[in-house]
Formats: sequence, C-alpha cells, structure tokens
Amino acid sequence: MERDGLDSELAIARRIQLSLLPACPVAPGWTFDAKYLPAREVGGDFYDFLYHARGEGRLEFVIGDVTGKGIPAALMMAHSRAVLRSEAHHAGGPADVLMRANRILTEDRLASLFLSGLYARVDIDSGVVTYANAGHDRPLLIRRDGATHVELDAPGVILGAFRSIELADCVVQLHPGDTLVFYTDGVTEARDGYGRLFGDERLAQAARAGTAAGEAQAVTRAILDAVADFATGAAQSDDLTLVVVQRRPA
Amino acid sequence: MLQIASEQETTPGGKSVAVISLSGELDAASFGDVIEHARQLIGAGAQGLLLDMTELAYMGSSGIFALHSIAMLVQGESPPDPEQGWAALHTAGPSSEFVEQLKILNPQPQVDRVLERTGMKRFFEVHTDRTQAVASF
Repeated sequence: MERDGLDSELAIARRIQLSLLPACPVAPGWTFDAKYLPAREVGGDFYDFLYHARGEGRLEFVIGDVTGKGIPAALMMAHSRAVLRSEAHHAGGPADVLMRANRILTEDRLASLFLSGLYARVDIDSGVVTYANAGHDRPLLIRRDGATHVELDAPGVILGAFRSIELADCVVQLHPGDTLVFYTDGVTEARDGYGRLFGDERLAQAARAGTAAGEAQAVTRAILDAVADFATGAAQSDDLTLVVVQRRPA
Repeated sequence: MLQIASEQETTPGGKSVAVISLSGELDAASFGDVIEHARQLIGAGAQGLLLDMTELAYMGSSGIFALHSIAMLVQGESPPDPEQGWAALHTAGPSSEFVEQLKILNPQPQVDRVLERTGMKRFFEVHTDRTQAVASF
C-alpha cells in the first residue's frame, strides 16, 4: 500500500479505536477521569466503563494493556474489550470476569499477544470497591489527607498465556476524599532524555499533588504534566493510560 | 541494547544446563534474539536453561513473551514464531505448573517487579545463587 494510503488507514483506525473508549460516568458523590495516549497512531492500552452493569448503584470499569504496540496490539485490544464486555454480563464478580476472559482469549488462539488487566466494581453508595488483578500494575490508593498512599496488592497472572489461572476478588473501602489511580506501565516506564524511568515514586508524588489540587481531573492532569515534564526531549515509548476514581469529600 | 552470552554447565546429576547471561535491556527490539539464542542452545543439547538476569536493567512486556516462548522450546514443543506460532503454544502451553527446565537467576528490582506483577513467578523458579540454581535442575 502507498504510504499516503497507509497513513489514511491508520488515521481511520485511530478514530475507530478512540471511539471504543467511553465517556467517563457521572455518579453522585464521585468523580471519574480517564486518559489514553497511544505511543503510535493506535495502541494496545484501553479502559472501559460498564454503566450499572450490575444494576443501579454499581459501576464497573476495566483498564487493560496488551503486550506490544501498534496495529497488532490495537487489534488485540479491540478483541479483548469485546470479550470483557460480553463476559461482564455473565460473571459473578471481577475475578470471574477476568478468568472467563482468559479462557476465551487462550481458546480463541487469536492472541499473539498477552493482556494485563484490572477489573473493578464500585458500589456508589457504600464506597466499597471490589477488584481483581490479572498481571496489571497495582493501583494507588491515596487517602483523603493526601500525605500517604498505598499500592493495592492483588495476586494475578496475565491473560491469554496460560489456560488455567486462579484470580481472587479483593476489596477496599473508599471514604469520602479518597482517590484510586489506575495506570498502565507506559506511565511508570516513561523515559527522560537520559533513558531513566519515570518510576513509582514520581507517579505517587504527582498523584498526591493532584489530589491536593482537586478532583479526578486534577489528578490525571498532574500526572500527565509530570510525565511530560520528565520526558521532555524523549519520544513516548509506550502507550499510556490513566483511570482515576475519587469519592468526593463529604 | 541487549547483550547475550552463554556458558554450559553440568549438574551433579549429569544434566546439561546452559546459563544465558542477559545484559542491558530486553524489549521489543531484542526479545527475538533471546528466543533464537535459546533455540540454538536447546538444539545443541541443553536440557535446562538458566536465565541470568543479574545485569538485565530493564525488561518490558516483550520479555514475558520471550520467557513463554523459551519455556515451550525447552519443553520440546515446536519452535514458536512470534507472529504466527501461538496456536501451537496454547495447545501445549504451560498450564498452572512450574516449567522445570527454565529458571531465572537474580532479577533486579525493575525486572523482578515485572515478573511478580505478571504472575510469571508462579511458573518459573527464581534463584539468587548460581551454583544452587544450576544444581536444582
């Protein structure tokens, strides 16, 4: 294909891929924000919100990262998103969604790539967040005081590689003013002009600064600004995705 | 940039183990070289592979792909094609058990984090002492 034709196809693919990423939900007492920055025209990261998939008062979302970049990862991303959406309607909880998706991704044999993913369910009224992690970066929990953060641990295995995996649901209670930051490794592994990694500590610092500045949108802005400042002069090497969930202060 | 070197060792039980030392960065540009290196060693008779990650400063998700591929090679499966070979890998791929013929030595913090996060430590033994690691095959 001629270069101009390929560029045109990629531009269309990019628009289609971006159209798969939903608008952030609106829920009383909560703010949500999400950002996706592919390293190339298209990429393998994604996020998805499933509105009230379990009835009123509950909201579910997923963040995922397909190994690799570019068109192969983008195709796998679209397939993975569809599988997760479909399974979400049948599964009993976040771990079940991911394990069901794993069975399909391995049985399909479409996967020349793997998928790490974190699936979470938010109970809007109580603030209880139930989540399961399939080989994905651990989300950050920043309590209301903003001074401390913890990485939410949850054992898991990437999807699409092994036929039989066991994942478990984990639970965390969000109080008013608490913030959860979900991200892909394109954030922590962003590099500066010297090849150094952005890393966990810079991410935590930026996230804490963001929570001090405002709601979910302020947190994504603070993190993206910090990554951009750090990576000045270096090309973006990997897709980068953020999902921020904040329970509004009482 | 990734540098690959290997040495042949023999376990007390007489098994041939190849120690593959990785230095630099294992990423999308270099993962195929590691698979090919392992393929040659297995073809030359290595019964076990020990990936020495002492000098490996960075491993991206391509490294996970490489580990999975080498695990299949060392278990006697058809050599994987990174673009097309996954059907064979999934058919006979490692399930929930350790891959006994492939082990890892001394991953540094960034690499260890990737192994931990992706669940790879459930499938591959990780050692910190080379002598003990070789003897464990």
